[in-house]
Amino acid sequence: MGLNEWLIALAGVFAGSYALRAAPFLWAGFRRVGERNLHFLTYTSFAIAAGIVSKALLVSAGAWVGWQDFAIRSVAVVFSVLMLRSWRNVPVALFAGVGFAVLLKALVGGSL
Amino acid sequence: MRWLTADTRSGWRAGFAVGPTFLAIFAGFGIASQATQVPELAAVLATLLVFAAPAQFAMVDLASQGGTLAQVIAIGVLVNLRFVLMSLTLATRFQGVSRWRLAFWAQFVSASSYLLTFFQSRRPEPGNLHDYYRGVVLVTFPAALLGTLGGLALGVGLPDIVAFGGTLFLPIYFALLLASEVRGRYEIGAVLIGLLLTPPLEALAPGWGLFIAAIAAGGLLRSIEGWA
Repeated sequence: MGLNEWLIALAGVFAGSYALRAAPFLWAGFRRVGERNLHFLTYTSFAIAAGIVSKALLVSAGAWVGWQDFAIRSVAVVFSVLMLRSWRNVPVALFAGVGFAVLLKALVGGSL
Repeated sequence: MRWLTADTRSGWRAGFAVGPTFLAIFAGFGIASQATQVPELAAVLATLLVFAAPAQFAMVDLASQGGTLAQVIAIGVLVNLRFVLMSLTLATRFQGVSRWRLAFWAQFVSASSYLLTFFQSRRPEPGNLHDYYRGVVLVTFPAALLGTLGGLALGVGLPDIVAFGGTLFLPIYFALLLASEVRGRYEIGAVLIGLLLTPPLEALAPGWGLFIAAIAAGGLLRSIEGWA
């Protein structure tokens, strides 16, 4: 597609996505539905957060990751949760987990 | 009204934890755009106007396979259907905010701005949640834009190990939030369903698995709660 076609496509997706994003804020009927289903929305929120975690462990750039990558990512998540338990500090646990994963990947991939 | 409140700064700090993931994911989008000959201006405008990596990737992928204009618009909007659920959750938590502010900031709803605000709302003293949400957006949106520009500039030259590390900030951060926030059997159930059901559903229906698993978790647990 050329630039002009892309501009039209982007305008269309912007309009549609904005309507989806804004309607629940601006339309009182939507809000009432939300208030009546707070528990449902709480459970879906937890499921989305958990789904993002498991998806990131198993899928990368639209393809399933190899078992080695899956193992490294899983160990990094467990390691960061253990770090959180001992340090009680989210940024420390976060960077420790990511750093540990990068180190493992470099060791396994022979980059070190 | 003050622009930068303590709650905005608090959201800002939370946003910094997921910022590297935004940089990495949107750098990936910039690289994919370049690889599929999407005009650079269109790639930058995609992040500015759509601000949703899954939809942007889907659009680029379909366009590169010869999809029509209508199909590209349809896939972009359909992949973003999940925003209704996210905005609905946030709408119940933003009290006393003017319609104009809600209308403006609604454009920046993303999985991160929504989930970080949701987790903040569960704290004993959550503060002003709309200010907190704005703080998250003030980090994640520029990070997305910078990532796109970086991806376009770098092309395929981003070292693999950097890209690998960059993509892990978001899932590890959410894992940490879940580990410290989940309370009670229904919430644990929601987490388990999300963890176990999302990957296979994503394989069956790419781009939809997360949404379907979340709806299934919410519906199932709400029903069990109703029976109990």
